[in-house]
Amino acid sequence: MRFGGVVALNHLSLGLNQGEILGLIGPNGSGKSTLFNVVTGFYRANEGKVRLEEEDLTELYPHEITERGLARTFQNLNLFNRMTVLENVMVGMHPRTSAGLRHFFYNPARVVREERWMRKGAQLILKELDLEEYSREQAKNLPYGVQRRVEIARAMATEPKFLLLDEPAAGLNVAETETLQETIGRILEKGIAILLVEHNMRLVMNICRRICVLNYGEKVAEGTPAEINESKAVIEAYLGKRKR
Amino acid sequence: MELSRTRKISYVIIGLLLVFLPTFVKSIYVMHIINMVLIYTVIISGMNIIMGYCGQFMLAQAAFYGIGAYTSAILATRLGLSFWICLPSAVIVTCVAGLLTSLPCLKVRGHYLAIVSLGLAVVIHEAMVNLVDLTNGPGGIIRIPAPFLFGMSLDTDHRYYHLLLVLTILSILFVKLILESRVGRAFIAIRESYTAAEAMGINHRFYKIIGFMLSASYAGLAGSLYAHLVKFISPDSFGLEELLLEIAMLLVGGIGTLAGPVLGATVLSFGYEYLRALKGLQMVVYGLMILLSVIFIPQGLVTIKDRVLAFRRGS
Repeated sequence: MRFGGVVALNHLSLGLNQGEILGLIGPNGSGKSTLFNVVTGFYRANEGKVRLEEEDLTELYPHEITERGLARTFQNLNLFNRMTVLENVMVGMHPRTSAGLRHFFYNPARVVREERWMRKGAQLILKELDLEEYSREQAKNLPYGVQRRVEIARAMATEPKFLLLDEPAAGLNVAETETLQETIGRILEKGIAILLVEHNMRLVMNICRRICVLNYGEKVAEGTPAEINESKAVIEAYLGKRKR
Repeated sequence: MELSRTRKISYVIIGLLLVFLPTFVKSIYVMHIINMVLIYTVIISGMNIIMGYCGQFMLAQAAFYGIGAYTSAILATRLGLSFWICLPSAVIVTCVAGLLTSLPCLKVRGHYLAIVSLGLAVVIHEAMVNLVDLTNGPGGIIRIPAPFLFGMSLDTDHRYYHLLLVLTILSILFVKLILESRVGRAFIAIRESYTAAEAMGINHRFYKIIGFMLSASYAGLAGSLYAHLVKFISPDSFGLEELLLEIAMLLVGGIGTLAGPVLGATVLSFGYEYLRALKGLQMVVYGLMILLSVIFIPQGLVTIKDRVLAFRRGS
């Protein structure tokens, strides 16, 4: 993936299988966010392909990719601030429903039915992520940790097969990080594959069976947490970074 | 909808007042202002959908208003079609105009979108002035027939009122309906963050187009109603001055709210007329009013009640 003269991702190849969680780590600027944006359709790769179970996603728009079962969260939180938590999650159900404007005229029953279905579904997700008490709050008024959970809840509402989490633990305290770890565990139990980009090493080492390390847009190491810990290449990449 | 008893009673009272309004209002002049308030409410409600709820700077509303008016007028005067055919035709034609206008606007955002839509509005206005064979140019179209309803010709403001009232109320209710649905949420999602909206499976280009079409339809409806009310239209009424008035109404009333358009239309229409007493100073004070309200009450007059309450509580 090239931006003008800068090669952000250089012949990077990653695979993620169903039900597994792959950790992606690397110093800032190593290309993690770029990778996310390429995979989710916000950037179009100059070379190479993005494939989901035989289907080529490379040329698709982000919303089409989400329809096919790939969801993401954002590093800097991208909630719909002037909507309530419930509404935020209900938006997540958009790709799984199809009531459009025209249905108002020739099939209003369907509009009502789908609306009810979306509301119930969203409430269920909120319950699972312990967000019920906030359902009527405006997203912008929530504490940071809660906002992060809402972001995940919203992505879950799209019923993804693959979930890409972009630094979900950033800014969370120890207790919140533990809750996050539990949440991720529960998501994995549902059979959803996760690509986790994180700087919080303890979290990554705890929950990921496989980790991939990026530096300057290239894969410098891949393996189990133990292997990664020992790897010289990784230590070099992170020279100066403290393990938390 | 759970409504308290007092709420229900007040709605009934307001409803009755609205229905019997023409009997209280003796002056044709005032009746006409009221009718124009209703027409503007429809226009601004439409504008509110794309600008307030979808967050797009679409500045072609006055042009769509004009397309609606001209379509209806041309169909009525050239083809002698009944108002009841002209009205829906005007809405459809304007809706298509909205669709076509949206296409070049898809690739631009924010200020650039404002300029592009403004440019398109100017083009449309020029078309009204220059396509003389179609629109009779600057001379405008005269002798637009009034609608016939239940055997009666709605040729006075008093008689036209109820038609306007019903259509305006339906227009507002439709906005509310859209808002509380998947489509409405998609609009607001795009406003809040089109990136996140895309990530949630919302095709923001598609919804932009729909938003344009909806807004245009509202303006088209209002345009047709206007043409058959005042029975004479000319390009003057659909240019930049008109656009500025519409923007002012939207902002003063409260952008992104249901009641905003109504309030904006009411305050600015009556305000304009009542300030006539100031003669030379009329426009100065009018402009000042708009300026001050946008500066000090940017969320619109709708929020005044809440602000006063909050102020009283000392927060």
